[in-house]
Amino acid sequence: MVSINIQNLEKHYGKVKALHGLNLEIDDGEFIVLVGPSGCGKSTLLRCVAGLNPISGGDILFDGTPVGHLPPQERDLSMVFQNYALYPHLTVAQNLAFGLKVRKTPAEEIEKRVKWAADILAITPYLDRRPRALSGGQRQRVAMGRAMVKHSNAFLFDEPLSNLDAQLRVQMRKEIRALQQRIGVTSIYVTHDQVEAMTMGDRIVVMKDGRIEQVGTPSELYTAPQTRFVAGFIGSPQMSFVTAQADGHRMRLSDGTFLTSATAAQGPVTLGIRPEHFLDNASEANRLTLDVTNQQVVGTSTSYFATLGDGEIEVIRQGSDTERPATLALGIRPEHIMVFDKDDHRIAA
Amino acid sequence: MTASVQDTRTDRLIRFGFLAAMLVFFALPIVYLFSTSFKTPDDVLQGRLLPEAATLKNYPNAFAHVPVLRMIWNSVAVALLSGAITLVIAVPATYATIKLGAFRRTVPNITLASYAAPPIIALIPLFYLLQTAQLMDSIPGLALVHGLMNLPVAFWLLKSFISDIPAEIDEAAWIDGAGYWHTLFAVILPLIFPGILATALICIILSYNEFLFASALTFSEASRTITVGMSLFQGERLVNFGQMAAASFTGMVPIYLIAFLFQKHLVGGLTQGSIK
Amino acid sequence: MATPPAASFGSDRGASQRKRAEWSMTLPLMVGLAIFAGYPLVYLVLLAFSRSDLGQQFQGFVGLENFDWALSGTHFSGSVGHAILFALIVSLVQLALGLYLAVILSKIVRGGRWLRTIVLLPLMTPPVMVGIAWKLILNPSGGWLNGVLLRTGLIDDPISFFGNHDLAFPAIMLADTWQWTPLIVILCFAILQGVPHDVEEAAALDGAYPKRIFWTVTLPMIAPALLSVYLLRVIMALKTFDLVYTLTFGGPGNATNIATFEIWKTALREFDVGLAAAQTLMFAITVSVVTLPIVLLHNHLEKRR
Repeated sequence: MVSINIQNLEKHYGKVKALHGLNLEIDDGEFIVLVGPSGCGKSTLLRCVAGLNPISGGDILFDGTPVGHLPPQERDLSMVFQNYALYPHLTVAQNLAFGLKVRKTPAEEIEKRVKWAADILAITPYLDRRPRALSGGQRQRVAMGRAMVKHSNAFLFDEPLSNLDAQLRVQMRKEIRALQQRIGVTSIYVTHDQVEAMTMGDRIVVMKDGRIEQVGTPSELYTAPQTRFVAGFIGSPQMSFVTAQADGHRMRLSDGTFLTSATAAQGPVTLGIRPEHFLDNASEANRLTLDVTNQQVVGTSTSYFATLGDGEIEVIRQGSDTERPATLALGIRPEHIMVFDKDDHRIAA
Repeated sequence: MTASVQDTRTDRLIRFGFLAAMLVFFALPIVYLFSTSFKTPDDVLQGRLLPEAATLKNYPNAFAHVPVLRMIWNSVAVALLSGAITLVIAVPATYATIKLGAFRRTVPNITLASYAAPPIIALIPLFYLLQTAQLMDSIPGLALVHGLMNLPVAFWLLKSFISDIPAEIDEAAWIDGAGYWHTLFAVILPLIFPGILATALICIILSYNEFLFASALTFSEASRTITVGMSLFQGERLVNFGQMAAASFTGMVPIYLIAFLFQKHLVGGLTQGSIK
Repeated sequence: MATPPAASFGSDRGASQRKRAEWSMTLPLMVGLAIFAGYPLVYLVLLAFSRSDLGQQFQGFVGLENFDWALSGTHFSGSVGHAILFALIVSLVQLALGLYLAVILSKIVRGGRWLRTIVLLPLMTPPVMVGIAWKLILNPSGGWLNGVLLRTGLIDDPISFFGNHDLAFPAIMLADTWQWTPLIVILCFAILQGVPHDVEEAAALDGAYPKRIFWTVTLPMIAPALLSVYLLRVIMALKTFDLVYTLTFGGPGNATNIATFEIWKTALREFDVGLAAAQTLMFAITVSVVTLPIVLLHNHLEKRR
């Protein structure tokens, strides 16, 4: 188990740059989630760490030792793939043992470790079966087991849960996280699902267009996103955005409404408000009455959609409200109105 | 509406008739060859489908006239050896091309080009090559030529089987510490075994059936193959059709055995390789 | 921050290990193809410009003399014409028959195993034996077809199919069609299996009848694949040698003399290897010229999809 240090990492395919000089430090035992829309470079970064994609510049260090020049065989990593990539012709036990056998581990040691992993993952009854005879969740566990037995430097996860149904996914999230904490292994986990990122990561790396947008704990990303992209990507339902003209703390929307933000700015800005931050009526500063254009009941909460300035905003409220109100009377605390400049960077309060 | 139903009925009749005619067409020459092998010389001249008084004599007589079994054995030896040569060369190369991206464009292009080139191109130069290498008129020599001849076919057949294996399987093995050759042997080979079997069978059949190279590169009894031996019947002035049919049929038995035993693999191999 | 050293590809152990594996895996194939295709091509070019016979090659540089002689003084150009005609015609006939048979077979649910075996046998038969089998069928004395025709009184004297100027080529084509239609059936069957059902079902719901669906929906969809099959068959048919050798030996006269057979005769009967090399080169060029339009048409259809 190692700390991983990514220095100025570059990757290009011909003239196309996939990664633009990334820097990232991952502590020993940390669970890092790489998240971003498809094509953002998160999988490329993971595959560079794995050694599956040769890097074009910069380096990767494990515990301070450069490994960027090593083939995947010599990096001593474990990887869990989206489609599990179990060896179809081998039994579960042989799948777990494959990597150990390659490394010439003594037979009794192999047996011990396979038994250990199988016990933890509750797959002992299936050890003699082929992957084909297993359910999706069981295959997922075998893939985890194959990663565990090796006592490797780090675990790499490439969207391992996206082939599972929603219910199983929630359960496996918890299991993977619990397992990782139990073993204490450094982990890099790639997903496009921000909920998965928020619930699993010690820290989250938000990526976009081959660059790192922001690195932080889930709560940092939620409360203090550095860019409009991160603000919009993290949080569910999504943050609503409205453009405004700023004059100090006073923000004038296109329909003439004024909002007061805790942040001061000048000139054209974008305001961001999270749906869950609208209050029934509490704030003195920002009190609004909005016409409801649409409404969705989501079990314990209800989403209302309304027009504010030049944007459509979403408001989320507890309870399931089946009758659509014509208007909503709302308040927003000034500190809940994020302000982004014309380059989409958040202006600090 | 009624008209369309009637249409379908005549359609069905036409279809059935065509199918039946084609099946008779496919079966007739083999059936006739088989029945001729039991005909006496007089019987042959009647041109009837079935022999009037079946005789078994053609078989021993043909075997006495030409060393049929020896030639079949030569053919089998050449075919098996050449199949092994083809696979040993083609399997790693196809794996490297498809999975490691080695010479991703070059290899398919040159294999395709050398398949399209008529084999007669290679005949004269290979003739001299074998002469220089002291492999002329020998089983290893012809097997080598056939083995190289079938490389393009093997490449295109194996290509589709290997591309069917998801890339993650290889990557998982590499991350597990297995080298590229180790991955090929321990992971890929077991997975594409049906494909390798189909490829091997097709290459073996192509070698067994080959005539042009065999006729130019083997001439003594010790190495002459069955196809060459059968062609010699053509040169004779007075052909004994019964004996010729008996020898031919015996020569076809090994191939037909393969066809019966492995028809699924053969059909699978042919379709996989050419359609994808 | 100091720039970390760029992971250069050459000194990179991961990359070099992989390169080593790539080379060691592909080198035998390269060498094999060099022996089987590269070396012969070079050798042929050298032979074609020299006076060479089977016993002694390279007796002197003769420039374009061999090419000149091949075109003017031999039956070569006629044999190339025969080869192309043969390849284009048999491939088309076999494609039509094979496709129709595949369509029929794809409607049949039962009996697949037996049908498959019967279809497979001609394909597996060694071409020399195909020649023998068809010789038995078509022979004037003791041939099955002549027997039937004589018995039914359709003819009074037996027909010598392989001895007749007009019938010899069709007879070879018949034997070739017997052997290779099965391959087309198998390939077309697989192509038809790959056609998504929803499109055909949508057409059926639109009120189209099966025949119409086939011509207007299925056929355009599988056209590029069919063209690949046609191309494959043309390439194979241009290599035909064994059938001519066993059935007619190029005769009667030069009626069935195709390019491969003419080259073979020049090299191994007349021992004029230099001339044969020139013929071979010209035939190889012809093959590319003939197959090129089919390749282009295929690429065009493929792109349109």
